[in-house]
Amino acid sequence: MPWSKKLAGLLTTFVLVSCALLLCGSLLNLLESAHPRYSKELQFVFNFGNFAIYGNFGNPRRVTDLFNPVRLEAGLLSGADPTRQFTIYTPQSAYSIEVLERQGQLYISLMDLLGPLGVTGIRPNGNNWTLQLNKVEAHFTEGKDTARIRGSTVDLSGGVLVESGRVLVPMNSSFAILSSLLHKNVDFHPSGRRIFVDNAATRFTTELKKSDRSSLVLNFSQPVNPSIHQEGNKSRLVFKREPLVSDLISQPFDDKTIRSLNFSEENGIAALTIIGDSPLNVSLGSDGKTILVQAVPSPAPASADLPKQAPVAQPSPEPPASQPSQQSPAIPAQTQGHSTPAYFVMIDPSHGGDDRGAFLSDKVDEKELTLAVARKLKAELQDRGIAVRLLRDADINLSLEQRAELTNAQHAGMYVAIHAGAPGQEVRVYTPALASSPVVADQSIVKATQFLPWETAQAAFLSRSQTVAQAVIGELQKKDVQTVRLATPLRPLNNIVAPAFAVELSADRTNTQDLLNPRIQAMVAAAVASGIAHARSQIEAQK
Amino acid sequence: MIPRHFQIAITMLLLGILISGIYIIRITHKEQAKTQLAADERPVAPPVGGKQERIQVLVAYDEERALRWRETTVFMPEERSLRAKEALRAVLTQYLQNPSPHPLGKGADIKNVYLVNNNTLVVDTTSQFADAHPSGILPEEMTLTSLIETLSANLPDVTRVKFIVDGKERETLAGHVDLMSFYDVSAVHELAKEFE
Repeated sequence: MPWSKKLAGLLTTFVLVSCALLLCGSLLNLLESAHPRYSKELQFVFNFGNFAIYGNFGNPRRVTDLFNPVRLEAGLLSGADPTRQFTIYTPQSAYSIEVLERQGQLYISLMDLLGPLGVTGIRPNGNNWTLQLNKVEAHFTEGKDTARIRGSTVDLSGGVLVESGRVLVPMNSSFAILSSLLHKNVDFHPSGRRIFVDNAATRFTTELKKSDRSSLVLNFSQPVNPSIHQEGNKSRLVFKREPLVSDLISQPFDDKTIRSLNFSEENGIAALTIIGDSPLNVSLGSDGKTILVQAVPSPAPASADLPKQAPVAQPSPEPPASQPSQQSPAIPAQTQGHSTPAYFVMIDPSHGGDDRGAFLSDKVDEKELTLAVARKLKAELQDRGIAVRLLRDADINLSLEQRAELTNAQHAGMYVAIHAGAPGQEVRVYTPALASSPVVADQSIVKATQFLPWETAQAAFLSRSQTVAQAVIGELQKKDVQTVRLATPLRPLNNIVAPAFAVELSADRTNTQDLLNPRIQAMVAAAVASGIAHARSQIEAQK
Repeated sequence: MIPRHFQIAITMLLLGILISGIYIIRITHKEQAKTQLAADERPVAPPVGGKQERIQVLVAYDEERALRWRETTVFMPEERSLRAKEALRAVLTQYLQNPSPHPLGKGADIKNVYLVNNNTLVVDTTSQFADAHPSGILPEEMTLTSLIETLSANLPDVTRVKFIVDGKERETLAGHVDLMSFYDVSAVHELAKEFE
């Protein structure tokens, strides 16, 4: 064979071998992006393919990771600081996400940021990551400090990182990402690590009423539920979920009892600090929009200046044989002077928002059913002349702690949680079962602080809760409804400082039609309302 | 005219490419299946030392809304926290079989059990135990009651039990029953009576 033919043959062979290895390398890249955890088989193919070729066409960082998968996990865990958080406020909800420090910059997970807004997932394609929100696409590339959103380039002020399938973006880019993706007003407070979407904001005004015992009234544009911390003459109101904003940082008062009001925001939380000359008494109005701050009276009991003060009476605990000092455990003693004779039942339509509750069928979520029954129960109770409040009247997120806090803070006369579940074909009435003994370690602390342990706050009301549950069972049985009474460590029954019980409508998953039947819901609601009305008169008689 | 040896070389190469492609596609599928399995199945536990013992476990039966004592044979180590772990896993084994009297999500398992002050147990479960647990007051209460009663039967000195999920505290098991509290075993005895 002539040498030219031999050379042509060799060249063709080289080209074909290169093509084959190129193909193998590309396939490996595809395989790797589809499955980032590498297997022994993959390594085998890798070696079988060609180190050099794959190295050229693959990603060098991944090649390193291929031989050190443990480093991936370690890298993921390092630098995570659970105390750092970033809060996103929208008109519908507020949520806090973890902030990580990477390469000297603060980073957040893209899915943590956008998941609650409706993004269900990010599609990887090699180094590129694509997500979709309401038909709007956003493209992120690992290592690049820009993204493509709605076809425009968005500056991220730092490179995109990918850690174990999690896409991380600089926290400071959240403004650009959210405003480009949502096309809504976004207000970013980087120093406070807070971001406000679509004009979500709660504002407040202050009014100082001067007298011998001056009072400061804070009026909020939306209901608020701050946690209150007292430190000497300083009261600190911490707003964890409320999008509280303020143009003023510090407002001094020309008053001898209330000196100043300061607004601060840090680590995703806003706070108001009121400084007085003596310890201050902070109380929340019944509508949640007003906060009254007054100096704690020295000898005489406090007089309520606030017209909107909780118009409810705190039912006194049962005859306290063993725990004479037990009063409203979740509420500071100062707020208890403001009770009024009104009585109301707090209805808690369980779950809501992201929490769908029990899965009953493809068409039924527990959260919807509980709200429907709660509304019917409200109407039935009102027909019987009993005041009622619903803890939620829409599909909103409300934590179990918040449910108990709101019920206790408003001094509800009774608490009813509505649930729906499987299996069964009955109505189950649950009374609280304390998981642990209500005896606290140091009664002197209870006496001194007027606080009770949160987990056993229900202790003093257990027998009243059982009385109500029994009355409800009786009324349900009168209507030939199959019933069961059980004790349960159901949250938040044990945290409620009032007679409390839960009603659960049950059905087998194959037959949830009865649960949806408005007539059955109305019948159960009517029986529960009758039971409550009956039990209320029993309890009043006992008192 | 292409020489014969060329034809053979090209054919071999094309065959090689085809075989490589098929092989890669096959292992892609295999890996995906493996990932799925890894997420679904219980983590591989180290072999348990100890002798075989017949122990009492309290098993929940959803359809009858009842808890019943059953005997089962498991390897029980000497060390008390390991004994607790094996007793709890014996209950979960009952729930993870098919058909199950009280179905739990795949991957439900006990990661660790910590014994504190000789009478308090902190049970660390896998995240699947809570994440995939059927949501509902009754199923959640039956799960906790059966586990705590089983612990009490096999470690009578234990008076308090606390559950954590994947090393962290969680408010509820699946939206209803309290996981924040330490459970007094004596209080749980009362709950168990309701399901007799």
